[in-house]
Amino acid sequence: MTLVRLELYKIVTKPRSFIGFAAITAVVFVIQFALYIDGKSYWDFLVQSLDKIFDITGIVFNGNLVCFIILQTLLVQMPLMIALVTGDLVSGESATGTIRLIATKPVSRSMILWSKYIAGFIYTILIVVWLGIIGLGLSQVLFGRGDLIVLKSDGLTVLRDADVMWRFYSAFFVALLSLTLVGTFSLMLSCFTDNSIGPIIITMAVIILFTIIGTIDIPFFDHLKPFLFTTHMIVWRNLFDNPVPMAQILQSVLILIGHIVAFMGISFYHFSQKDIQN
Amino acid sequence: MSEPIVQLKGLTKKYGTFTAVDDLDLTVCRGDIVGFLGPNGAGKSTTLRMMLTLVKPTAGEITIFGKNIKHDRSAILRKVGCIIEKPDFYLYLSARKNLEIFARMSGVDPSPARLDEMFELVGLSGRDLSPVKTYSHGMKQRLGIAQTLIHDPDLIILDEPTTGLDPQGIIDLRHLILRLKNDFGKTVILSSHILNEVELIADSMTIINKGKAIVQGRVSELLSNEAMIISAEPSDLQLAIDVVSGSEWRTAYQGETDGILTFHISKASIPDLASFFAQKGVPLYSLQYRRSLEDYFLKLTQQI
Repeated sequence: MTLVRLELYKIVTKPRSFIGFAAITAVVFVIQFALYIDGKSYWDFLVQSLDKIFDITGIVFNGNLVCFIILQTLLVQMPLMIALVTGDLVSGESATGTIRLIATKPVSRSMILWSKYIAGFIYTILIVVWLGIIGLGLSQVLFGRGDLIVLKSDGLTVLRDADVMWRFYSAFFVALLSLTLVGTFSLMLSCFTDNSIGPIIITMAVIILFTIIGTIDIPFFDHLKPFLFTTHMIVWRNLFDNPVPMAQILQSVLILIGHIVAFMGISFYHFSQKDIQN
Repeated sequence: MSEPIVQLKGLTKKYGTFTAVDDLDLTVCRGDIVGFLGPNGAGKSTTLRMMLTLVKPTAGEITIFGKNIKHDRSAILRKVGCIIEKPDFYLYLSARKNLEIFARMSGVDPSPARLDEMFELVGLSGRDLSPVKTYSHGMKQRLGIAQTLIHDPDLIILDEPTTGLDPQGIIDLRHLILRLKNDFGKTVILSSHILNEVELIADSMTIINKGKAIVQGRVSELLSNEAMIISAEPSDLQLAIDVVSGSEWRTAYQGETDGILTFHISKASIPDLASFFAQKGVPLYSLQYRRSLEDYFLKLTQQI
């Protein structure tokens, strides 16, 4: 616990750790402000093609919908905010030389790495909880609650207000799992280099590359998509389908956990074997 | 000879085909200050890093406090304090917080009084709350010494500890190391390029070159076996050279620089040399001798 506390203290005292919170706050506030001012026009634009088919009445523009919009917007950028902190946890110490001092202390290397993983995980939880508080909680306070209408390319799904909250909680859980994977991946890269920027850039490059492959509809890529972790990171959206494809979601969750375990295994093996030369 | 607390046996480190440390044996006795010397790339730092588990040996055994470092790493390192190459800290944190963090990692929860004592000891009182980024290199070096001592270790490993210190800082550190040995019975392994520092404070020394130990022993014994360097300044240079060239002293004669003749002879032969010049009618303005570790070191590592 002492090691974890020290790691958390180091994270808290680094200015870059607050970039994520500041960015999320800024993006959420901007979206909420814009929707508060002119949400009606935005909604009309979204449903203009459906107006002729459906007769949509009632307060459809509510806090649940705002939160859903925020999640769709933010969950793409959030990996960068996590990687900014976790990608620096080991390589940052290598770059400054403090790893040399830490590794001569009577603490095993696996304990050092565990403490960094736990601290990184706590940071990820805090980011997700913060997103939940201002993305969901504040949106519901500002815009009220109501049924959630989820627009899709092939139609729309209407979810009753009473049926929405568990979906959001589950979505935040899957988001936490996805961001933990990103944190684990960048921390693994962080064990391989003495450059604190490298793991952050590589993490983002991999996520962008995998996302592009996952987006392009070329038959060859269809074979690759199930093997890309980014494919499974966006499975939270399926929680807002009706009925919820539970088997598919569970499979993706297991694949995300599998990736986390594999990345951790590689980093533990490498970190315990490496010669600290810098 | 007191109890050996560090024993290296057949210690070897290879990087591909390059052998950084080659079958090194070393013994350090409790309460000694041991000088660890060698030219750049000799394998000093690699050896110290292997002792501290930063680098894994290719072969050999490291025993510290009678325990194998492979099996009792934590128990051993709890009683070891070190600076390797340069002291690096969390620059955005205060010196006090840094010291607290590293003490806790060493298994010690330092009291405010203990922290004050350490800052007092290394001359950083009043600056303990400043972020380390505002420290000069010398101040970081002092903080490094405090970090080394905060958990009261029995064995202290200092790799180039005087780097960046001003002359007063070097003298203070020398006194501190001697105090650690004399007042607290600590064992110190001191790797330094300032060979004079080692000569002044070390009880024993090990010189390594190309990964191999070439000399080990008590400093006093090693140096007493060595011929001294005698510098003689004659009143008549040419006459002095002529008489030396035609005498038995020519084998000890090393040459002339700026009017000074240099000889390699034993301490006991100095009066004979002085008499020789007097008898030959060559008065001397001065006759000085020196016996430095630096000369010895350079000779052994074949740089002279």
